[in-house]
Amino acid sequence: MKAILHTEKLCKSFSNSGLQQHVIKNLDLEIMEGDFTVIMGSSGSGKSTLLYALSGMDKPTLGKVFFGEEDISSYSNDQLAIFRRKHCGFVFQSIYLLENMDVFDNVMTGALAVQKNSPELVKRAEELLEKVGIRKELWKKFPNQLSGGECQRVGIVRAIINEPELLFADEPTGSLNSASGRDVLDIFTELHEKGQSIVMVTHDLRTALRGNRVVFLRDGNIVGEHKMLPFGSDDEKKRRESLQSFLDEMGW
Amino acid sequence: MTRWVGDRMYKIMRLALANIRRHKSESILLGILIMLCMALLGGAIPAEKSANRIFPELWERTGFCKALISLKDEVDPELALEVLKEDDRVEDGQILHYLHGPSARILDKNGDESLFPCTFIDVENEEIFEDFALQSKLTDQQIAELEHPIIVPLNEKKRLELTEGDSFSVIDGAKRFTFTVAGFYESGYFYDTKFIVSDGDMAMLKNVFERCTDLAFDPKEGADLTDISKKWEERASALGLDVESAACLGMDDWSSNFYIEIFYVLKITEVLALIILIAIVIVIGFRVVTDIKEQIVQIGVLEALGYRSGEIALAYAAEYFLITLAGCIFGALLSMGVFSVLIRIFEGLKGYPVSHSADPLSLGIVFAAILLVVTLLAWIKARSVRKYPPVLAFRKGIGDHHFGKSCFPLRNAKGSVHLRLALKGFSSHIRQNIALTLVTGVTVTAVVLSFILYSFMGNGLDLAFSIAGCEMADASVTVMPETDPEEFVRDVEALPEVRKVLPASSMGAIFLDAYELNDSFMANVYADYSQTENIHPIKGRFPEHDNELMITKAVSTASDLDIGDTLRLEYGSIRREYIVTGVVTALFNSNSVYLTEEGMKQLDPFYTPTEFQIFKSEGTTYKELKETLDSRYGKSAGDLGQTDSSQGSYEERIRKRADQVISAMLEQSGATHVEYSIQVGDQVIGGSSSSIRIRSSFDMIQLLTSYMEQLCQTVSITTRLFMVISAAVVMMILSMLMSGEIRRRRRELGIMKGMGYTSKELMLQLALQIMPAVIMATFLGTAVSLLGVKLIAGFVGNIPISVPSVLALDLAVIAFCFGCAYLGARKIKKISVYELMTE
Repeated sequence: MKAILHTEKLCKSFSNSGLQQHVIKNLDLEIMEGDFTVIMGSSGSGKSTLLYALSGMDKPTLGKVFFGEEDISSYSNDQLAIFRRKHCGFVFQSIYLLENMDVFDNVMTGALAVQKNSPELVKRAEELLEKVGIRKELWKKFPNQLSGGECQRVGIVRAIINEPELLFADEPTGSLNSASGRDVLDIFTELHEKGQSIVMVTHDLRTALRGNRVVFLRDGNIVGEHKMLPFGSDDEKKRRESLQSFLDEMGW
Repeated sequence: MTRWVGDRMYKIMRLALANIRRHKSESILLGILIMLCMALLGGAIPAEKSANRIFPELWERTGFCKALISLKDEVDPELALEVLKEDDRVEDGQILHYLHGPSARILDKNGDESLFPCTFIDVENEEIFEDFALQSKLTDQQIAELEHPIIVPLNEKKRLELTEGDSFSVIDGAKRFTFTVAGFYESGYFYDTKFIVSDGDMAMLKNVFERCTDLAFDPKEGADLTDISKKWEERASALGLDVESAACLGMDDWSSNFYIEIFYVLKITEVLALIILIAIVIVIGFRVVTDIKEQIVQIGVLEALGYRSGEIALAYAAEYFLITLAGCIFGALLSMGVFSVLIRIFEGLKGYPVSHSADPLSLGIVFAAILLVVTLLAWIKARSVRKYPPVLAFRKGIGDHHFGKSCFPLRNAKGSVHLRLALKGFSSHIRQNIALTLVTGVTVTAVVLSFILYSFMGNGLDLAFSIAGCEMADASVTVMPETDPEEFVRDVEALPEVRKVLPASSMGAIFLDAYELNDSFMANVYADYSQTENIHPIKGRFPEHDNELMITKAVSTASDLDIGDTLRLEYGSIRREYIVTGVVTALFNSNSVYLTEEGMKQLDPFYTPTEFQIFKSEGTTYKELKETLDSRYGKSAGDLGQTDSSQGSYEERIRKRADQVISAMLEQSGATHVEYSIQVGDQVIGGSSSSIRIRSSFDMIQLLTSYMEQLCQTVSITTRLFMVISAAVVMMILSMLMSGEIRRRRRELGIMKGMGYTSKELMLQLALQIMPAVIMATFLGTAVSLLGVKLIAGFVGNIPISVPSVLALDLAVIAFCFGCAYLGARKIKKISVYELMTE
């Protein structure tokens, strides 16, 4: 397996009234193709900051981020935008659907950022929506007419419609109830099984179990890594216990 | 109680100031717009008051008679006056005689000729008009020694650059009269320029200029002048006097003529200010609603903390109150500059000093009005806060929820996704876009109207000349009566410097009496109108037969004549009827008719053209043409009169002096041939006017240019200023609009950036979003301005509009608006995806 994304001494700091806050410190990380990488850590450890730096949503203060051989840390904002739309999909905790567009247009807005409209594209959008359980009757509905789970599923379709090499998710089940959260995670699992590379931030054990690799962050540094077999391929109890043990070691 | 009010106001002001700080650059822009509006209105309204005082103050100073009744030549003035005095509302009735030269020209001391309608009067009659007080640096002795003294109205002193002792000539037709300035006087007469001349000169001028007899009187305070005139007419008619439709003019009639240019400048300024105010009102209305939507959660928080919705609404009102207050204060200071500039313009236009003083009351009213309108509007719009109790506010209000149909669905998108997304944005904010259409439409109207007027009169005179109503020949030459017109035409056309020669009569040589209309019209006479190049009927056709004529638009309107109507004219004692075949626009000499030579001969069987309009060849200057004519035909009678008789041998000096006398006799006394024989000792020096072929010649283009220059300069400056200020207003409005839009859609724009849309793409979408409104506004504004042009054209007859130029301007306006919106949207670059995710 090759590394699809890697960092070299990645640093991210924030300045607040003259005080420097170093969130990520000299972090080296590789994201392998086909992996479902979960980033965990306690609150304030820099999980989301790391995710945004990896996905090109934010620029590192120091260090580099390589996508393949491309150093994206030196890109301008517009170059990063183009990078994101070509190579990445993003699923947000707060979902962030466009409220003045219906479900179908929300998906197509993401798609048309990269591709020209075509019957094939429309068909793909329809198929993906059906696949995640968004029925045709809901396609003309606006976000405020859907449940949280339905909205997040639309968000996932929007993120994957362009077949991104990497799918990033920041606490995707954070604002959902457990049933909806489970449905969303099932979608992620299914995508992973089909070969989608995923990087997810979570603080939830059950969510983390969906991955095959867990990276633990503390004070802006990776302090531990735990590899697992993919979800569903091994004894779930064993997987859970091993992950729990790892997390206990990390002091989580 | 006071403390409670104070605490409350303090809370409200804090909120207001926080809002202003939050949107500093937009608040500054809005303040600038308000400042402009205040400056223009605050300057124009007091200036209008000052301008309105010019006449009353002048009449007060000069003691000008308050009313005049014009009498026809055949009316017995003594009897007419007697009848008038029977009315006890009439005071100080007297008979007034003067001369009028509506198409006179002036040759100033620099040798420049220009159209100069004027009146001549002697001292005795002047003292009936008004209180005459001579202002002169010359002594009585020096004045008495002047051969042809003239007293000039003070307002012409600066315009003609005259001082005592300067000479200038007044020309009418081919006759030239040279005067020397004896002094100046202040006159309340503004119909045209009234010169005071000696009794002897009056007698000479009577042969040339139109004689006028008026009854001058003062109606008693509060008396109805129209009624006095009507009663007099009835009584005079009963006595057999032909006084039907006798013109009775009072102060209001004169002042309306005086104020045209001032009125134009003032109205332009006030309209511009109102346009800005409308734009401000619309922008504020939109902005308050946007602010509330953007801050809905904070509003919920404030309410949860105990702020009442009324107080929050007052905070928004206070925000705009403070911005408007600042804008009005600076605007009031700037208005003093605007006021001074306007006063200077008026003084420049009219030549008289305009008494002016600060008008704090007007300024205060404008200040208060703008403050009230803006604050009230902001408060009314802000009252919508009441719809959002805390919980609803936390949920960002019902208004943000969409339930309707999705317009421009992306599944059907073809071509650019950005255009599609822009159209989606456009359709989801219809109200805002209607407001934008209105604001842009109003400013575009101003821009297009200004452009058309600028093209017409502000950018060279070609367009204005095209509706001059007369031939724009390069030179007008008047020949001696014995000259054979056909031979002259053949001769001159053979010159290489000449392209064409048209025999004619124009420029006021002949006046025909429209006796039934109690009016007289200047005659334009051409043998063949198809040979003319600059006379264009806007209706009908050229006259072809001897019973046909064309009239000007002004005559058509004033006399209610149209194609097919009959006009009866008199010349000398001959009367004839003519059928109107066409209507012509005439910027100059608008009181004119156009006949054929045969038509003129019906009134004057001995008519032959003595005026020849010469068109020079390409590359020839007027000077070269004149030199050629002089070398071929000798100096004109007019030029001979200007020769210096102090140089040369004794005989030469005698001959030159004789030439001067010949010139004067030919020009002033109506002589057609002069011979002289002067004996000095044994020597006899003789000569005659036989060698003189040309009476006078002048540069027509330069003459007409000088007539139009001042007005054209005024139009040029004001229209260009209008266009620049309108463009600046549009730029500011679009910039504020974009800022508001970005604020309102901050989250949405952050999401789209997260999805991978670049800042430039989002700027393009935002700019495209407003383009449907801008395009509609541009065409709407153009249509309205074309209507406006039609309205103005009703006065001058026709204002040519170049459709390709207007379309090009429309495209330029659309492109300009797009550019402003695109640049105004650059704040999108500052929206960081990260900040959005973590805010």
